[in-house]
This record gives sequence, C-alpha cells and structure tokens, in this order.
Amino acid sequence: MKYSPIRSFLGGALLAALLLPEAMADDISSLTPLQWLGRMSQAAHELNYDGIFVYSHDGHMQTMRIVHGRSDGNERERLLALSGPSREVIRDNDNVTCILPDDNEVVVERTGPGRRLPLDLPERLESLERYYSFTDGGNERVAGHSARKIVITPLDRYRYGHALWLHSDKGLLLRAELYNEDGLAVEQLMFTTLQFHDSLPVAQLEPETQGRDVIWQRDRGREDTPDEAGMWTVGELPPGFVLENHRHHFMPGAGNSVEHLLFSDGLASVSVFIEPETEGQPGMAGGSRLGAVNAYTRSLEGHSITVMGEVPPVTARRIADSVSLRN
Amino acid sequence: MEDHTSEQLSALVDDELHGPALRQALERLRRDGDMQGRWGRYHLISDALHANLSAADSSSLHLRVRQALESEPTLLAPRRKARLPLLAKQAAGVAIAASVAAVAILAIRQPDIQPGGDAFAPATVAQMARPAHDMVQLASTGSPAVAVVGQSTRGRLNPYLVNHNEYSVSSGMQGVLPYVRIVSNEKAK
Repeated sequence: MKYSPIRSFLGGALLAALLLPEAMADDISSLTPLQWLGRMSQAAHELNYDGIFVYSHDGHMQTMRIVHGRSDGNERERLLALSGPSREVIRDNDNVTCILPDDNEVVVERTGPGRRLPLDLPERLESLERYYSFTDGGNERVAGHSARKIVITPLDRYRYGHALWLHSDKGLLLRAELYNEDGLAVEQLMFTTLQFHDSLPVAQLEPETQGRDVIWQRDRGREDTPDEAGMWTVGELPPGFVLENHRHHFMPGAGNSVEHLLFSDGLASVSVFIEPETEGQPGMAGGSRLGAVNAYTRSLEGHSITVMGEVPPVTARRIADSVSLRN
Repeated sequence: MEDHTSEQLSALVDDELHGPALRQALERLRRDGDMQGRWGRYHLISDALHANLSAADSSSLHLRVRQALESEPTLLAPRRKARLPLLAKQAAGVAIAASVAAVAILAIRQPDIQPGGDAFAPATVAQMARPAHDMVQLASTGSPAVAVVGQSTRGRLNPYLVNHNEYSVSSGMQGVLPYVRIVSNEKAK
C-alpha cells in the first residue's frame, strides 16, 4: 500500500470531516456506525492519550499501559506490559523498538505496512457492508467515559463478529470484543483509565527500561523483500478476501525465506505462510487454535502451507485449500 | 534390562528422576525410537486413566510426542544462561517480529523453579513432559474439529503469529492491537 496524493487528499478530507470540533457535536448522534468506525480509525492516530487497559485472550489476562502522542505530524506510541514479563514496544512513526528485558535486549526495526492509517478507509468501510452488518448499540460507559457501542455481525460463516465501544466525543476505541462462531468472546480489550491531553511531555513517551543495562541493536542486513510475483497462487477465496500484501520473510532458525501472503476483507486479516518442508521434520497438518487465532496447515509439493488469522477454522481451511503452485 | 527401562520410563513420566539419572534417561529417550514410542504410550495410559483423552487424538499421540521431542532438543542441555544469548543473537539480526517470537519461546521454556530441588533438573522433566501431555489434555477440552495446540506446536507457529500480527491491517484497532497481541504473546503457564 503506497501513499498517493489522491489518497492523502481523501485522508485529509476525512480527517477534517471527522475531527471538526464542537460544531460536530450535535451531529454525533446522527452518525452511522460506519462513520463511527471512520472516526475510531482516525482517533487512534491523531489524539494524545495515556491509558491503562486490560487485555484478555486464550484464558490469559494482562494489564498494559498505552501512551500515544502526535505532534508536528509525528506519531509516537508506547505500549508497556504492566503484568507478566516486563516488555515494552515503542513506535516512532515507522520505527518500532521492542524492549524485552527478559534478556536485556532491544531490537529496532522499521515496521511493515499497515501501521499507518489506511487512507482508502472510506471505500474500505463501504465494501465491508457486503460481509457484515453494523448496528448502533447505544450509549454505555467505559473507564468513566461515555461510549457508543457498535456491533458488527458477520453475514456469513467466514468471519468473526465484533463489538466496539468508542469514546462518544473523540471516537477512540475504549473497549473491544471479538466473538467466535459460537458467539463467545475470544479476545477482549478494555480501558480502565484513560486521559486525553493537548500535548504529552516527551518523557512520557520515553522507554522506562532505558536506565537498565540494555543493549541497543539496530536491525540491519537482510531485509524482508516485497514480492509481487511469487511461486504460489490462490484460487477461490471466501468472498470479500483480497490480497493485501505479498512478501518474503526471513525467520529465526529458518534457512529459507518464507513466502507470506496477507489477505483481508477489510476487517479480518488472514496470513498464508509457505516454506519448504525440511528433512526429517514431519509436516504438521490440520487445524489448530491459538486463542482468537485459527491456523490450518497442509503440505503441498514439498512445501508446508500455514494459514492463520482471527477467523473461523473454515476460513483458514478454505484459504489453505485454494493455494496452488503457479504454472 | 527390560524391567530397568520400564522403571526408568515410569519414573520419568512421573517426574521422579533427578540429576544424572534424569540426564541419562533423557539421553536414552532421545536416541531410542522404541523408548520414545513407549514413553508416548505411558503418557497415553496415564491420560486414559485420568480420562483426559479424546478419541480423535489418541492415534497420533505417538507421532506428536516424537515431534515434540525433535523440536525441543535444547532441553537436553539445560544450562539456561548458555542458551539465552544464542537465541537472542538469532533474534537480534532479523525482524522485530521474529525476535519477539524467540523471546516468547524462551519464556515458555523458563524453568519453573521448584522449592527445595535442583532448579534445573525438575524443570527439564516438566518441560519434556509438558508438550505431549498438554496437547492431550487441552485437546480433550477443545472443540472436536480443532485441537488447541501444545507448546511445541505453538513454538513452531509463533514466528508466523508475530508476523501475521505485524502485517495485519485490522482497521480500527490498528496501531494498538497488533502490538498488544505481540506483547501479550504466550508465556509459561
């Protein structure tokens, strides 16, 4: 996904339309659920905020703090695990620093695509209506803030449902739940405290772990390469899923690069990983579940194909089955 | 000899071996295909006795035990300090995603320090036994079509998972959620 002037313009126009202050206040009650989602997407990138949330998935629960600042067009964000191993992720525009004091190690890396706001958001949101229904769930309260609940229900069996609670005035996501095919929440996130600021002191966005004996390492050498024409092709996908990204990754311990295809219906994303099977490592096959994520692995032409995403098992399986070797 | 093997295996399965006896048993287990098969069956028996088994999973248990063993060779050299930098080094040169994955895997392997015992030995047994056992136990509570993965499978899927999170563009929670998923990545139970 590249920036283009038209998209930038659209993005700017959307931003202007969505963030018009007080004047908009009266109209907020008449916003459609899709317009709420547009506000949400924008708000996460544009606002200065500092909050603590609980994240629960797969039977685990964790507390994290997030500090997000935006000034002079620069975005900086700090995510800090408050429970469990002390880990910290700092994003400075496209640079991501991951601090993992488990081992006194710091790794810096440029992010992949997708960290930026998708500037074709309005079109994207419209196409979503073919696969999900969006309903207004009324007003509720989260972390002491008034919130609007938006319920997203899949129209077929290929995707999961969501409920999102958005800050009534600012649009920021305050609470989210992801529901599996049985209607059970498989992933939940909820702020318990949240403050908005006009601007944030720089210190708030500095890593807390810096004073320790950490080694700063800058990623260099082998870069992941974007790749348009891979060896593999996909046939019939579940409706609405389109190829978003296609690249080769190098992974630790793997001599060969792994081909990575990313599909999305605009809300759910599914990754396809293809790598040669190694000698003596019997191919793992079939479906598996990691919390909200379903994975399906199969073997084809001496390669192992793994599909995973926050989608029902049937979607992962269908996408895996659609992969074939390009002629 | 035969009896000795059975006894040794029994003790291993029951987490009763320590020190050199443990190392010897593990080394044998690693080399001896028959013993691995038997180790798998012992666990199967134990799980069947405890009614932890779902019918679908019993047939492939042996294979999965082997797989679990093959994918966790470092456990046979349980010097924790020695293997941390190695994995960390691997991690440092590649993508951030991959590095987090490596750490997540490390976290899984952190020995559980048990009071009063040799910190390394019991942990090793626990780690050896855990993958196969977990798979069986968790699978029986999961939905029949999809198995909840054991630690070794999870370890294998982990780099994928982190890459998936890095690149996924789920619209609204973007910016936060992919990293939340990475930071909260699986840790030792």
